[in-house]
Amino acid sequence: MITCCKNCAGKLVYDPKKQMLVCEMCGSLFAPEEVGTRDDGLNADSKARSLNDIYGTDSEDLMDCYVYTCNSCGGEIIINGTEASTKCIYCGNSAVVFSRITRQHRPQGIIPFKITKEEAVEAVRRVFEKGVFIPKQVKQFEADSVRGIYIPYWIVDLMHKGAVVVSGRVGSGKHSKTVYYGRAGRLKLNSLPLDASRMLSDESSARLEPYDLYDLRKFDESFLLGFYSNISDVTYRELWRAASLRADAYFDELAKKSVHDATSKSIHASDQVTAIDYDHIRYALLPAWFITYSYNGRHNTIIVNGQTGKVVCGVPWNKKLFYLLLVALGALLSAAFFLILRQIIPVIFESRSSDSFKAILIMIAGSAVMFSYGISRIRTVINSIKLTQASSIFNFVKKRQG
Amino acid sequence: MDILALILSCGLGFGLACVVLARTLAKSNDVGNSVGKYSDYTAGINYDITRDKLSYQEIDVFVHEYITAEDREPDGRDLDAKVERQ
Repeated sequence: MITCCKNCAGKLVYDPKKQMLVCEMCGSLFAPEEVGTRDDGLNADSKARSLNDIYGTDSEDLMDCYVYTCNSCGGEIIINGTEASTKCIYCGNSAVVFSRITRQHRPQGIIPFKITKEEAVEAVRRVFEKGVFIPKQVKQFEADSVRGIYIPYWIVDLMHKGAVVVSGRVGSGKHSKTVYYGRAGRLKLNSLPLDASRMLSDESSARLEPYDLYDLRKFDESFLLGFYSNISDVTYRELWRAASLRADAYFDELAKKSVHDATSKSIHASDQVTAIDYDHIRYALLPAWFITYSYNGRHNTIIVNGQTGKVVCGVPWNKKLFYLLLVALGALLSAAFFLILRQIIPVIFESRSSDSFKAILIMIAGSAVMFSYGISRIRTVINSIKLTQASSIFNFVKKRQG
Repeated sequence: MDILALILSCGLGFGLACVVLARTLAKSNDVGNSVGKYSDYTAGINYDITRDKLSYQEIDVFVHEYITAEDREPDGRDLDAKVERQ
């Protein structure tokens, strides 16, 4: 396959805006299909070989890497076992390592990048600008790197069967009671994208959704030019587990939604089973921009959906400002509640009935519940922020060259 | 009495402040916290059985009798093998 311009032998890269391959030297444009299937013969002898083949050792200390000879400068690139394309570290040529894309691993579809690098960074800046608790230095971040990476996905159809019991409260006050609702049925999910890379956490990749799969095109190596990509390395068990988790969540959500006459609904008991239609799974590469920046000596990663521009990240927060506001608002609200309760409590005590004792107990319980709920909300948000600051995301990027 | 009012109002006041600020923090710093919706991938559930007002004793039977052993049967695939295109 050629990765050089037919006119001047310059480097070709895929331009998301033009949806064409552009020569960086002379600016010539080529349709991906036009150059994607040609083989220039230079790669005939450059099949990826494992280090064990090269050095004749079976040592477990050696990482399973592969050597690729750049078809532009002849330099050798060592890449990790799951990399499908990369840039030459010596000349920057977008050398597509198609010898790693064997028949088994060659994707069937690809959604080409639609958002350019500049647009991705701009989208992040717009989001950051609105953040109340985002430190000023983060708002004015300088990206250490902005890398377009094609994430491998398995797009699956599945049949999910489930029986769940939803519990909910019916009635109000003294007459409220818990009622149980049974729901059993089948849920068919079509074209569910499941991240096929172990390097990227499922939680992070799920947040990149939705991808518009109508844009899915037949895979062609030319789309990879100028970008990084990985290939699938998940097992059937991991894929099934990811599918089950998603299907369980959707089934629970729909079952709760089907109960109309109750409040405080939750899943009381459930038994569910997922069957993936393996005959129709599709292997596709979906685009994302990975932007890394440093703040307080720590690396942070922002992911931007390369098709829709959706920004996903947990941003470092201004703790000082947050806790200051928490104390100020808490004190203000407490003072307001104090003024009200100071009037009410003596009246309740004076009535000396059994109901007044209950009223006090309810107020104490209400106060404790509100406080613990508030604390748990803050914990949930902080954990969610940490999720997309996890090292797993950064590892996905940092192992790449360039 | 004032002490009781103070303790209760602190619980309510700081609890409410936590809820409000947690929501603001989520909006500000937990960017893109949403996953694909079920409506993107399905037209809905086909319910075979719907029962309202199950008794507590009926729950176990309802949950565990719907899915059959056949549904759980493995398809003979090596689950620890890498997924490959069909």
